[in-house]
Amino acid sequence: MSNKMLEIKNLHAEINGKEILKGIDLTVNEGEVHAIMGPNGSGKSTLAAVITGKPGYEVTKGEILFYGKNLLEMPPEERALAGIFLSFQYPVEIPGVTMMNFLKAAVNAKRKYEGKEEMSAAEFLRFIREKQKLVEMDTNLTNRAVNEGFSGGEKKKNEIFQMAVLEPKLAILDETDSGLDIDALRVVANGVNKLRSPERSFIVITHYQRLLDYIVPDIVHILYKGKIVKTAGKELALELEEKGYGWIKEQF
Amino acid sequence: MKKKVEKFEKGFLTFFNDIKNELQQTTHHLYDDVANEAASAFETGKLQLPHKKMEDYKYSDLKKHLKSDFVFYTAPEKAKVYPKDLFVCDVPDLDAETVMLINGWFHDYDGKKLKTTDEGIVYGSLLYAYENGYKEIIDAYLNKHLNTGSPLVALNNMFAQDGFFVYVPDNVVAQTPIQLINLVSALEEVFVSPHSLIVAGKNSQAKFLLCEHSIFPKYFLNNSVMQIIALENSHIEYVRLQNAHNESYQFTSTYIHQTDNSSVKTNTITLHGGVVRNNIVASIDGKGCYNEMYGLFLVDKGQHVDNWTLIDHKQAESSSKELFKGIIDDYATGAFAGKILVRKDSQHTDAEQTNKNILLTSDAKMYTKPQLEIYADDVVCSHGATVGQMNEDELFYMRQRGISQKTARLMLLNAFAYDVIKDISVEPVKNAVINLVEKRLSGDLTRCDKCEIKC
Repeated sequence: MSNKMLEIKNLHAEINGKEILKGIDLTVNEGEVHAIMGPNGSGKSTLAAVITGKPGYEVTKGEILFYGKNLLEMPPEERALAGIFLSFQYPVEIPGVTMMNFLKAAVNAKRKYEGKEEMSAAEFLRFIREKQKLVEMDTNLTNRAVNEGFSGGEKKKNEIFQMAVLEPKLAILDETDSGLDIDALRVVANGVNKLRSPERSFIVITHYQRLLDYIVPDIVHILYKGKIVKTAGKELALELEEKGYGWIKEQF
Repeated sequence: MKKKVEKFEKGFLTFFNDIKNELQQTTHHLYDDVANEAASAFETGKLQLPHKKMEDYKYSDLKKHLKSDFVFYTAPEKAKVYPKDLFVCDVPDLDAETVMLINGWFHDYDGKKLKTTDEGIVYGSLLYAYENGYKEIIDAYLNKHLNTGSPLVALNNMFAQDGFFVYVPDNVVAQTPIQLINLVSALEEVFVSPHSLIVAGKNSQAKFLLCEHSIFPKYFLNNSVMQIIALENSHIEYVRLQNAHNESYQFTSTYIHQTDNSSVKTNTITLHGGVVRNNIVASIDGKGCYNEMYGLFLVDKGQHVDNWTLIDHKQAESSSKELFKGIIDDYATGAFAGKILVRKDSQHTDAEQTNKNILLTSDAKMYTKPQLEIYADDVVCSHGATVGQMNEDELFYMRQRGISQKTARLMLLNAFAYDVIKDISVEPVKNAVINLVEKRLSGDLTRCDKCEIKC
């Protein structure tokens, strides 16, 4: 039996006084890939935001534990350092902050947290190049600002690349497939698959089954109206694809 | 000689009459006409010290700050101090020719009042140059092409002391920058009034760094005028670094005059200062000119920085690009007024103005007033002004990658400021400014790295 990584218990959360999550229970063990599917507005992205600590969301009930530690008490950067990574649905452009400086700050923050020394400039460059190769990212990053002028596909690849660089314990992919053509989708999925390991877990949030052809989940959940209404194996995704979300909406 | 003006706002006219003979003698009667004219304009009420009921000064009630007594030097002091002992420049690795004003008077620490660089630029004291071979040039440009009706210019002219004089002869292309240091160093509360002139001849090219500092933590008033004359096909780059303590009043007037195919790039960086008012006027009086006007200020506590600019397109086929940014912390205030005037026959003018500001607290205030006056019909003009907070989405994105909130904020603010600095072409100056801005934002810089005073 593998170790428990993430435990979400009876999680209620609201934004601007409106309750979005209405009692989520979810356990993710080491090495597992969970898919969370559901119609628009069911609370998928809110769940990702609450796990990562995005300001503006208020947890009114329940708890989130990460290796037994209370996540909700930690600021976003501490959660990230503890090993939680979010691949953003809409990666923000940060004009003026170069990718290299950004990555250096992130990598050094992590190394400091782990009690390691900062990398030398040469070491860092080598490390970055290696990771770029791993996720087939050929964009020249040296003089580019974070996500600025990146195409939709490049932005998503950049998220997976950052994941490769930061080697998180738990990666949450929030609609990483949206807006990707089939080639970009394949590249992104290959990147993710290369990073799969017995110690690393994934939560793949998606609206469509398509991505799950490439990133095959162990467990599929359906989130609807702020609650997980169905949990099963990977066959659930196929069933959903076939029957559509109307089938869920009728039942709940 | 040291003289004291009591309650400046009320006493400055009487004071002028008291010291006038002495001062006009020291300044070789160079400013007599403009000084007398200015004094009578103030006397008759035609001119007034800037106050907030005047449209151009509505965000900066300068008169309010002129109630105290000030000491004024009617002649240079005899102190023999080398710049390196008195003042350690915060621009490392800068290979520059350096000249210095102390309390408005030229400081010839090496006994030379006028020097020539290897590349051929003549630089030094304006008064000395006037008496020693450059009368013609100075007569041709001094107090021409500027608005003597501006109260700050008039006030400067009344008490004009010495100033920098730089002459770049025709066809001289210089790589080594000239560093001008305008230093206030007195144990009393002084006011200084330097008046400087840069003339760039035809087809010439030169770069300048003007550093404004103060040594002692006494309040002071520095009301300076700088004239930059860019003749045909000359190319000038000019960086002004204001870094005086928080008890200072710094009023500056910069008048740029451009003729055919010249380009002038100015960068006004205000790192520290109590009350700062910069008037920057570019008069584009030629075809094929390019004016780039950049500015950046960082204020906190009770500081106030007001940049007032005018780009006057007097002829066709010229372009201008203006970018001013401000970061306002605590309960500080900032202001920007930018007027672009495109006159009737200035067809095919291409003018762009941007003003962006970040308020770091809910008590910080910023006033911004873009103003386009266009009388020609075939032009491209754009302007945009924003006042906002830090972008929360950007901050969260960075924090999600494990970067602390403090570091993320700093990186974002530096990026915001970098936009203004990135085009400075003298690398050591650019790197020093980046470094100073970084330190300023992280709170490591109180005023100047090497300074003993903690403001």
